[in-house]
Amino acid sequence: MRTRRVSLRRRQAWLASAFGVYSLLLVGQFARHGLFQGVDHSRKAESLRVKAFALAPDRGDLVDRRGQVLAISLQRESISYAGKERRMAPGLMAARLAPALGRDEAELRVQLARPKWTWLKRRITKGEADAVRKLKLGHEGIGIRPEALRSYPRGRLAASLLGWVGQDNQGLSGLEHAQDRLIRGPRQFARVESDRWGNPLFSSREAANLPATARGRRIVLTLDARLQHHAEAALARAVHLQKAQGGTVIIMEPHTGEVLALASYPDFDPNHGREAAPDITRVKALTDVFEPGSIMKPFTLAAAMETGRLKATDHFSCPAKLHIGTATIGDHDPPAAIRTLSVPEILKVSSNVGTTQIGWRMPSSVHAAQLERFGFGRRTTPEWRGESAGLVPPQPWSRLTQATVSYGQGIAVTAMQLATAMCMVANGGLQVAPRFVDRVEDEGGHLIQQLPPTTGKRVLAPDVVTELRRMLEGVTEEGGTGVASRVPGYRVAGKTGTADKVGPDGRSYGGEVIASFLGFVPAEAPRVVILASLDRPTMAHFASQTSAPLFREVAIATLRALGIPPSRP
Amino acid sequence: MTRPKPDLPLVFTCILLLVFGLAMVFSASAPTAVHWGKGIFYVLKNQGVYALIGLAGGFAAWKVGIRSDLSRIAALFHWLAFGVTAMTLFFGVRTLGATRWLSFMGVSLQPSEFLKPTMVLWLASRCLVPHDKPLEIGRTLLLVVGPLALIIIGQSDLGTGLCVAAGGFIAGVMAGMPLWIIGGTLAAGVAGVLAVFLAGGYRATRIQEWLLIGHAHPGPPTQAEQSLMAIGHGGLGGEGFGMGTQKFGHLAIAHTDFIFAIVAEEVGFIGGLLLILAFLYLVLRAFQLAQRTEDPFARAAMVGLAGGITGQALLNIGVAVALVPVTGVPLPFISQGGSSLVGTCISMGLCLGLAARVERRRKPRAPFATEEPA
Repeated sequence: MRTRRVSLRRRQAWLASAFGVYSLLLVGQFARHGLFQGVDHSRKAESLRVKAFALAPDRGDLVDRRGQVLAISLQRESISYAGKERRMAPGLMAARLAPALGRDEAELRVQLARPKWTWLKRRITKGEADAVRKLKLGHEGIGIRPEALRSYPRGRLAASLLGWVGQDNQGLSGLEHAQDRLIRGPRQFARVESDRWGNPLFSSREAANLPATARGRRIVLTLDARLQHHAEAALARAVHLQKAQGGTVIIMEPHTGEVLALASYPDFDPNHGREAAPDITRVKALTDVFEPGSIMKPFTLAAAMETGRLKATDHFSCPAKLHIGTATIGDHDPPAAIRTLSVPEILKVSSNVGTTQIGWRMPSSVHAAQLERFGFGRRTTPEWRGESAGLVPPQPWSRLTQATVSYGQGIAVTAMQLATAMCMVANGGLQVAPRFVDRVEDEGGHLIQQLPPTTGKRVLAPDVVTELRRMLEGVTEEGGTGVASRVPGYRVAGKTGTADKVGPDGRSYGGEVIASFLGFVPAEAPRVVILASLDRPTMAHFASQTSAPLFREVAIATLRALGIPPSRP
Repeated sequence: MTRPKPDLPLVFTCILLLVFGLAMVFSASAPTAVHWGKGIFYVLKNQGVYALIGLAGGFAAWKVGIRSDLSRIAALFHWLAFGVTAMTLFFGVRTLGATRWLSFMGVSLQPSEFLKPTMVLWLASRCLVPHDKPLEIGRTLLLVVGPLALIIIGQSDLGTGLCVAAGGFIAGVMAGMPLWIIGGTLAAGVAGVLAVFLAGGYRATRIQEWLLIGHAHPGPPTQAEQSLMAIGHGGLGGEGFGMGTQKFGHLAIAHTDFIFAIVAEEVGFIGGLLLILAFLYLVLRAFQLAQRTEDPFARAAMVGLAGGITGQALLNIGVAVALVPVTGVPLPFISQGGSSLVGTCISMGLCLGLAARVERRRKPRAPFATEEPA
């Protein structure tokens, strides 16, 4: 019995020490991970737990250069429906929901019966949403979530330039599309503690707080709503007066390339953009090409003078017709006999024969390279998807090709390319690109992002610019094609263009024209470049009678709105 | 005859563990229950019912422990538990790749949990039997090796097998098992565990995962690593009850085998340490109670029953703090799981019953003794 007792005590001791030793190891390991390496483990856990949730801030407001609101995001709520969560009879549910939603009950019942996720009604006001909220149908799959309504308070004003947005607030045309990322703002993330399945924990506090930069952003455009309004009104009047199919007016600041107005006719209401045809909603000044016609002549002259192949004092012998192979080119309303024209006179009377001879002075490759320096054949902006680059015909050019390109046929350009090229003449010969957006501000008006102005290299020598301006001013003087563009008290420089429009077959000319006037004012110190263009005017044929008066009307309104003092006589 | 009184410190410890366990099961299971599309009380309700069954079972076991001579019915219980466990091979429900469950009338039962107390009782009773007859030796071997082989190989449940073996081993040591058998069993145990791991399969993977803890490896963090993150997140004082974050699916099914991690995350190192001490108290109290009696069966059974539970708890916590590889053992009283909770309650009921029986036998003989002999 004695041995048994000693043995028992010893065995108890063995067992106790086994438990003791293991427990010490256990507590040691527990302390190691819980206390000494605790911070590391905790950090690792956090990195797995904390997820970045993409926030969906509303699109920024679009305002004109003077702060006038052109597009705004309004707070609305949308009613969603998760069909799989419904337990109630669809008929009963439809009967309760239909009055709150203002929808047809029968139609709603059909939608509710399907086990699908759908929207029941989108972007209703808070009051309407509260009526749905009172029904307490959350457990039946009815969800209410905020969704912004894009609204254009000025209606049709600048519609094609601003564009419109789709059902999910994605930009579908105009600036809304081209600058979609800028208008949406940088992607914002909220750091939220979440469970393994991605749901936020403890209804995370962080999720509620959008960063300040995500709220109330304003995108300040270069547009001037007053000029836009004048341009659109004048364009609409001219289109009706001339019974034209449509038209475009561009007003640009030549030194910075800022687009002050871009009017298109016909227009549409971006609040109901879905109902407008794509043919109307696109920014035709950027997307559509046409043969510019005589408006191209100043650039032919500029190219020849810039490359040293033409002096303003040169004279050309101009017959009424010029035969090139089997083709014949001629001037509008020429005298029967061969006349001698100076370079300014060629521009003033818009002589195709004279311009052709000037063009021929350059090798065709030099001619094309100069046109490309003015921006033809290249897109004017990097961000507009759908902008056309136009077409400078590929080398080598035949003599006929070079002849037609000289006076603006057989070359495709956009209205914006023309206006931009004229800016380079008006600003003293510096390259420039159109600017639509100036800066982005937060809700307090503090600058978030300044879009850099284009700093261009020189494309025209100062003396060439001086000569060219003088010649363009001559166009609007007595005897020139642009007399109708003259503004009392101001010196106007510009060029008319009546371009034959290719017929529907894409090959032959059917007598329809695009009549344009491209110029700047005041001629001695240009403040604005204006392009006035009418598509297929029918009451008069020539730009001198159609577009020049439109230019004049826009110029008067612009000079007055900008407070530009008259030229000294 | 005086009315038998339960050993209050032990009862108090058990009730405390049970209540704390229910609270932790609720806290740890609520996010998972919600993810399953149930209410936050879904798992708790289930566990609460088993807690009541466990209390009833524990009370019954206490009564049985007092009234009957357990050493004589131990074999019957053991055979019964062995037989029912063997039924899983034929009528078992297959879940998670193993057949460990019996199901009838919607109630699932893991019978191997009940082999834990019966193995202890039965091995404790063997010390009363002379072991010189080959038949007796053969029977002992069959009833030791048989259930273990059934659990470990038949159900591929190494964790439960280890716990059954550990309880029986403790009882055997206390019952005066010869030294050569103790040494042989330990050697066989180590060899067996090694063999099982070397045999490959998911256990070898678990060893690799265990060795890789703290090192960069491809793939998502393992459960053991998520457990350490929870423990680290808790720190010294914890995040506060209910405030843990790892239970939100990061530590998968946090209310079962890894519940200690949630305990450490919510009540911290201090709370976890108190829990470890509570489990150690179970076996230490059993040692104390064992010293009051000369009955070798009662001593061996009491220490074996309580030691088995403490041993299982320490193994479970060892897994949670990455001291040992993942074995898949629940934390007694705390982890969610009906059979485990009821089995644990029965073990402690038997232990308390044996202690009360010993006291009652002792008291008439020394009615005036107030101090325990040292």
